[in-house]
Amino acid sequence: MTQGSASSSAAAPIADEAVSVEKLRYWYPDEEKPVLDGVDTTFGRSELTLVIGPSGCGKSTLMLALNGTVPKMTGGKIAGHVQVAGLDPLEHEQAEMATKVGIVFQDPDAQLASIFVRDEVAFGLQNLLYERATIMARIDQALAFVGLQAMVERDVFSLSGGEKQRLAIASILAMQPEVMVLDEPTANIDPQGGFEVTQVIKDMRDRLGMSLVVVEHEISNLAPLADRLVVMNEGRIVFQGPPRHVLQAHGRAMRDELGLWIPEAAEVALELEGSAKRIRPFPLTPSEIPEGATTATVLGAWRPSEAPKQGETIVGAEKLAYTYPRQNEPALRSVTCSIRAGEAVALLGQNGSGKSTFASLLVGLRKPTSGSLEVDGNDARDAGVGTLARTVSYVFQYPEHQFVGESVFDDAAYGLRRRGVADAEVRERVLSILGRFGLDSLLDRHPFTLSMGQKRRLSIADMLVTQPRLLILDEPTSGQDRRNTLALVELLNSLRDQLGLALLVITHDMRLVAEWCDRAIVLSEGESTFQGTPEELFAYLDSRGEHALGLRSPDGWRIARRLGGMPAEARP
Amino acid sequence: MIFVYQRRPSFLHNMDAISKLVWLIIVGAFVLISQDWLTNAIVFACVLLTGFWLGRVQPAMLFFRLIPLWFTAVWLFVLFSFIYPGGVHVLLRLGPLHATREGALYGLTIALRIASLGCSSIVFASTTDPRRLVNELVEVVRLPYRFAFAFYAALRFLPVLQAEVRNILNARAVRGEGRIAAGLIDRLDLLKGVTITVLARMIRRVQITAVAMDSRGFGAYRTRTAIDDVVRPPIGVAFTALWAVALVVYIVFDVILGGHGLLRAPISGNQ
Repeated sequence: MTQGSASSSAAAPIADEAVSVEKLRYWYPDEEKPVLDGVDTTFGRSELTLVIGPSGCGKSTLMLALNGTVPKMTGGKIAGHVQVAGLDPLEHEQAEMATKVGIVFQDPDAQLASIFVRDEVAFGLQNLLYERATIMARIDQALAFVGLQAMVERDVFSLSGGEKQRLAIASILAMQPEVMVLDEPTANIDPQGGFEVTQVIKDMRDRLGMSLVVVEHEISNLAPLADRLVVMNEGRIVFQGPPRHVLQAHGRAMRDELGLWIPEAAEVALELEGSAKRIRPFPLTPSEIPEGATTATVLGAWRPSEAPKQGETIVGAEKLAYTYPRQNEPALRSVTCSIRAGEAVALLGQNGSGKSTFASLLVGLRKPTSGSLEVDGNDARDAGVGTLARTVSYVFQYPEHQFVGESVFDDAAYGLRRRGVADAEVRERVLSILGRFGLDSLLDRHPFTLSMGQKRRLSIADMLVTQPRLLILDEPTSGQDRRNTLALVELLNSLRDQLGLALLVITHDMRLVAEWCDRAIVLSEGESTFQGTPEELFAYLDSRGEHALGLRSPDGWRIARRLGGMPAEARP
Repeated sequence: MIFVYQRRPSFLHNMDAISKLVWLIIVGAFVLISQDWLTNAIVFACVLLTGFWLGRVQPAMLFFRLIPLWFTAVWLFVLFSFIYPGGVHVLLRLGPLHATREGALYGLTIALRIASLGCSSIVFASTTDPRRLVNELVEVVRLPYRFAFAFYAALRFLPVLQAEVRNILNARAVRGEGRIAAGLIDRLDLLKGVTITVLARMIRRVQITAVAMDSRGFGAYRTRTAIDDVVRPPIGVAFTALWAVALVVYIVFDVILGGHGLLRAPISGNQ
């Protein structure tokens, strides 16, 4: 890619620094290539700094270097200099650094060490021998700040994803560090949970004056709030500065060359840069785009849905209900919907709304408690997983869960071999599908040794090789950058057209719904509360107010509305 | 879910965790020392009474949590009924196999032993706040907190591990593994695959957990601030002492002095 100019890639001087990194280089043990290759930057005090970059660019490693975890726990070689709140993490014990810098990780289930909410917040303070009265006061303050004070005696298993992430933040907040680092804090949670976490981040900067560093893939919500945007690639910082400045000057390179998501408002503005209609100040949110600035169709900001597919019905559910064994409350109360051949249907809803339960019924892992469910002509009440899995394939959220082979080839061949397909045909079909997914050069590699993007592609190839009628994808774009997401969508689109494959996509990614799906089904507390095209859904959400059903219309839709490219009236 | 603690007011909930742990050990000693079905039946009944009456444990919960254990107990009862060596009083003939009275009583003893151990463990786990146990292990037993916390962390992550295994089994079932894992070889193959996947994912998770704990000062000092007082109601200590006295009396009269008719129930009808 084109490297940024010296002024944009060098650390601009900040009067009051919370973090300073100079010529930082780091090699993981036994690696010849450094994962950090000369990082120079500063993060300002009481500022929100956003760090983005393609997968594997070294951003998470940089964050772990701020408290000395890299290299103290990871080993390897380090060169250069880091200073956080006036201390060098290499020269101070982690206990000392704990009150200077706190880290919130992407997966709260891995971060939370205690069983009860109160203990989790107290954990660090107890370790550092704070007095009991101080600890109790800090617990109250931290939980009140993140809005969890009513849950102080709850166990962590009963919390939602968003609540767990807010608890993880509270547990760091209680230690009152000068700098808080958050590594993809909204990646695994639903839009409502993500909104709540974003609010907490904003409040920590605005009300507490904390210095915050947030690593993210999707920056639409945070870029307008951030003071500084740092873009990394291949272990280096390539662009940095105020978000508006960086996106205006380098947005195209970030999107097209680094394969990063940029805010949709910025995408629209970039299309107008250099023309008489260019927008100033450079917008980061839909509301910053003047009404009538241009037309939505010209900009391609909105892809209106195509006419509904008229293919054969693959799935027909009528008042479908399911209650887990030994549970009083049903997980599904009443779901009525259909899915046709060739359709891409989004299955939406908050965590716990019944999406995964519905998907598990489709593939025969569970049998309906009441109501009817027909899958490709089979009554799901009678057919087991052995029968339904011939028609329906399910790509789970974590690809490793479904790897069964010792090599990429064996893994992809597994389903066909189980069906008794002849060896020659197995080889032909496996090589064909792996070729389409760009995995044909990795035939002998163990699936566990692949990169995350490769694992995701293999897990889908594994399922498509048996030519199912319906493919269920659980959060296929979670943690993926723009380049990987678009490649996956393009590939699935071509297979959909060729094979008449129906897709059911369980997702929180409303941009994916807008740009890819033909229809959306929304579940809420086990009931199907909405079915329609993405436009109908977003209009419905707008009419119900922000965050209705725990969902939020994507910025692309809002921009299109402002530009007059979409109907003004909400359609049911 | 593996985490079974249920907060509610009861005698056992109020009792200190160390006394309850000692009670659990006494129950274990009782069933391991006693060799006859009647003593084991009495101990089992006492454990159930303790759980239902003093711990307000729900019978349905106790039953469902221990379903695999019930199967094991019944299976051992049936097995020993047929294979007990030296049985003379035949109760049932199935071709060349004979179920004997002696075998049935021995099998019953083993089954009751397993049931007592399982039920007392569930009674302990469902009435003991893990925080209180860890706190008392550190404050009363003087166990280093890193060791005590390892137990607490295990309770925290076992449900996560359980969910992980369930997801892996579901994912593999969809690929056809659950359906074909009928034979022993297939089952072993499935077990190997699931274990590798779980280990790979849990190692990564544990690494994150270790970083998250260390970066909050875990292990930085030899001690750690306790935020709860240790409360040991005398009535709880007395309850455990009562069980201890019963065990001592049983050992003295039934084991050391030969148990002449005090509790020991005859295995053979001729005794």
